[in-house]
Amino acid sequence: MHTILLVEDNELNRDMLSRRLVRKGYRVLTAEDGREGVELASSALPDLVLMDMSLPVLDGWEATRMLKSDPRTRSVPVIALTAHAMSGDEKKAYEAGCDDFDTKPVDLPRLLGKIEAALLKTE
Amino acid sequence: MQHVHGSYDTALVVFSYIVAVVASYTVLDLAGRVSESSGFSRAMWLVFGAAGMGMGIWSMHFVGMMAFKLDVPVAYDLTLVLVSVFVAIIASYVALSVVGKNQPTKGNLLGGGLLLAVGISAMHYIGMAAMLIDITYDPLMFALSILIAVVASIAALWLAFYFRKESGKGEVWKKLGSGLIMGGAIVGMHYTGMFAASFHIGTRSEIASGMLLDQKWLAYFISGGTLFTLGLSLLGIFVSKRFSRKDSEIELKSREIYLKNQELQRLNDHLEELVRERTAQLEKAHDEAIQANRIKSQFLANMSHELRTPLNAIIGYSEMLVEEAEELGEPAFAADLEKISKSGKHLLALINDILDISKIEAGKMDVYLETCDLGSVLQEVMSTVKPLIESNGNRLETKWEDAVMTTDVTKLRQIMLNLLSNAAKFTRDGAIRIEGRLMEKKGTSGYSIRVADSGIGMTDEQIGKLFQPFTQADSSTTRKYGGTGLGLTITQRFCELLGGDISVESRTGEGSSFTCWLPLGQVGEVQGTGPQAEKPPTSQLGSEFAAGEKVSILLIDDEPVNRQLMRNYLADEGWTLAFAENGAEGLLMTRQLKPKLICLDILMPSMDGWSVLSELKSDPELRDIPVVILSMTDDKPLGYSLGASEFLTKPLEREQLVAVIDKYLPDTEERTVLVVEDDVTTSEMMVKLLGKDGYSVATAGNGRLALEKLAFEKPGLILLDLMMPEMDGYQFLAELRKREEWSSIPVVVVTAKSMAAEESLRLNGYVKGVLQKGSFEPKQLLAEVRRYMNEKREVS
Repeated sequence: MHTILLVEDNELNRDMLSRRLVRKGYRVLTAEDGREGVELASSALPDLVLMDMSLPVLDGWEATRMLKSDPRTRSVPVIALTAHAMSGDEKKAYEAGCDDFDTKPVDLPRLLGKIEAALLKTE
Repeated sequence: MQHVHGSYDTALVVFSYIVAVVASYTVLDLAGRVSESSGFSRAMWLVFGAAGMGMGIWSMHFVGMMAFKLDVPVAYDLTLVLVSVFVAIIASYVALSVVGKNQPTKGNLLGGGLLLAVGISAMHYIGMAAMLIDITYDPLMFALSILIAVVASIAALWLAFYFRKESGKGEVWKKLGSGLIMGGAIVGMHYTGMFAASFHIGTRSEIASGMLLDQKWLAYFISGGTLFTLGLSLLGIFVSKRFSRKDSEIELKSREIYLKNQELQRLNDHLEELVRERTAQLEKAHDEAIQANRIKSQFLANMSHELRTPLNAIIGYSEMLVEEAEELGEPAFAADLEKISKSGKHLLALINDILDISKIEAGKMDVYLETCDLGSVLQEVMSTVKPLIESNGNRLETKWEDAVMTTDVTKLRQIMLNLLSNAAKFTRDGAIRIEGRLMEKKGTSGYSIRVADSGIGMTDEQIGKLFQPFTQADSSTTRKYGGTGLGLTITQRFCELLGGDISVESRTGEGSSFTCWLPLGQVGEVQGTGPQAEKPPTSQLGSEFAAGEKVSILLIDDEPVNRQLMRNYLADEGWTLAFAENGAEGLLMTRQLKPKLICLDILMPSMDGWSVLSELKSDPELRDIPVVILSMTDDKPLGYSLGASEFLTKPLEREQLVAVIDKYLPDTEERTVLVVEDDVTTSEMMVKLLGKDGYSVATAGNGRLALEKLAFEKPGLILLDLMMPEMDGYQFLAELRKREEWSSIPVVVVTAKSMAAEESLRLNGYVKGVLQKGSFEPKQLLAEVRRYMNEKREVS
């Protein structure tokens, strides 16, 4: 069973997505902001991180950068989730070190595909 | 004495009157002419007029004299005759120049009249004196003749002026009438004067000494000549009036032109002012528009985020519930939940489309170019739409040439998806055909993709509205087929954005075909794909900062305005400033310049302030440089946790900024510590310790040497050992307190001696603190030093 860390500040979306992922057979950890996400990732070392980009305290880009600069979490794939859907966001996310990118609202089958692909790559 | 009686020749008297009238008329006419001209021509008219008028008056007088016949022949003194002519001309000149004035005053008229009268009288009596015969005058008649001269002169001048003013109809007749009156007055004066005289033969009557004239013929001759002259004058005046009328017409015209010009000039000036005003207004409007556009874009971005977040939950939860309902075997629930989910998705599509349209309209739609293989892009699109097409029982036929294209692939994909899903939507049990081939258009090589269906088709009217936002071919279409009504609008705009176009052919009931043409390569615009390349700033560093010059503050901020602001704020503080315009440059400059302080902006493109800060703090070489964060955001906890020394929120206040910087960049005096210690090991240890913390340290082996050093440079603090050779700590303190400028230097005693209460009492008030050698930690020493230095600064 793979562990996914979902970093998302919106309570509803956090609850909804985590429940749907649980239903699909993942273990899900959640964090509400970038800092918490980075801390939890460093301590729990999940198999994958779903990172919202506009987060309080520490935004998704920065949190990803920190994860990618820490040797312990460097290899954990990070999928960026953004509601902006601005063409620049995708590029920005990759620059921060994200492994993949998806827009919100989440299309679950598509996202699941990306999650599986990312997990396969690390194995 | 023999009395001589004279008689008058009537014809000559009448003739003299005519001459007087013509002369008067000429004067009246001349007065107007003089007043109309100016400068040289005025002077000419004056001279000419005065000569004519003077001659006229004189010849009237002379003819009058001629008309007077004495029994004895009378000779004339030629010199006096000439003098009388001259006087007449002078008097005429005066009179003319008075009336010729544009606005003669009453005083002018009276004075001029008197002068004219004096002139005429003088002329008359000089003329009489020229007669070589003895004359006695009747005083009463003499006075009367003078009076008539005065009245006639003033009246003549006044009339001349009056007619000039009242010029108009019947001018000639009025002038003639007054000429008759004036002539009469002159003649009257003359004959009154003659009447006052009685002639008799005496000593003066020597015929031989003068010249004898044949009076009668001479009189006719002179009168004729005079009349001829006066006639010529009148003719001259007449001709010159003609010309001057033309002149004045021209002058009037040119004056009009001048006025028009002036008005034009004024209008022009006004126009320029208006243009300036309007330009300013336009500039303002332009700025406002830009501002509004920026706000709009921001608003759209926010909107998109704010709307999508709850939609995310709606769609997500409903999809989740659909699955659960299906698992629980509740198909009715599932169907309804499906509707919620579908509506949510429709709403999302609408939001996306509106966002796209708005971005296109605002010119905010970015184009990201990449080179792609068209075949694989089309194949990918086919596989996406295939289920949709087949769901309506349609056949998909494809045929395309392979090509490589440089374009925005995402947008190309969206164009194809829009066209194909439209075709699928409006066609049932038919065929949808997609054809692609290379095609040159207007000299540009491109690729044409045609999507044709055998669906319901459109009328011409429907085609007309096809690409307008929010209009589907028919409003009922929306109900039947769904969709946002923005798809084709976006498709068309995307085609244009990519340098291509789209066209449509359709017939009701026979199907539609859309042809989209796009250029193979994008010329001229390679879009910025991401942050600008960070140019290495190495080269310009050297030129800006002289070797060896220590940079006090490095500002890392992408906004030029902020750099200027800092420059202004800190101009007087004597700090050397350096500026970096992005994070990477900031880090590079920090390594090269080793500034004493870094002011760091947070919101910067590509590498934000937080990243710069963490990088700085993770580099052992740069870790100790204090960092002041200048940010719009108020993320103090994060700032401090990442190692920032200070956190200032923009907008900055100068005082605050300077105070904060001051804290980290004290004056050299305040960063100097004097260590007075005889033990070399201890002394070296302290130098090392303090030096590491950025203090410059001076040392002295005993109190006396310390005083010498003090005279040379005043430190910010003194660390003092008590037990020293030559001059111990106590003596040193005593000396120190004697000098007023030194008394403010804080002293911390560092001693191995365990001090008795008495001693600490002695030191009390003299020293700030006492540290026991061997028992204090380096940290404690630094803390003490820092504390007293800061304390001192606050006091000063």
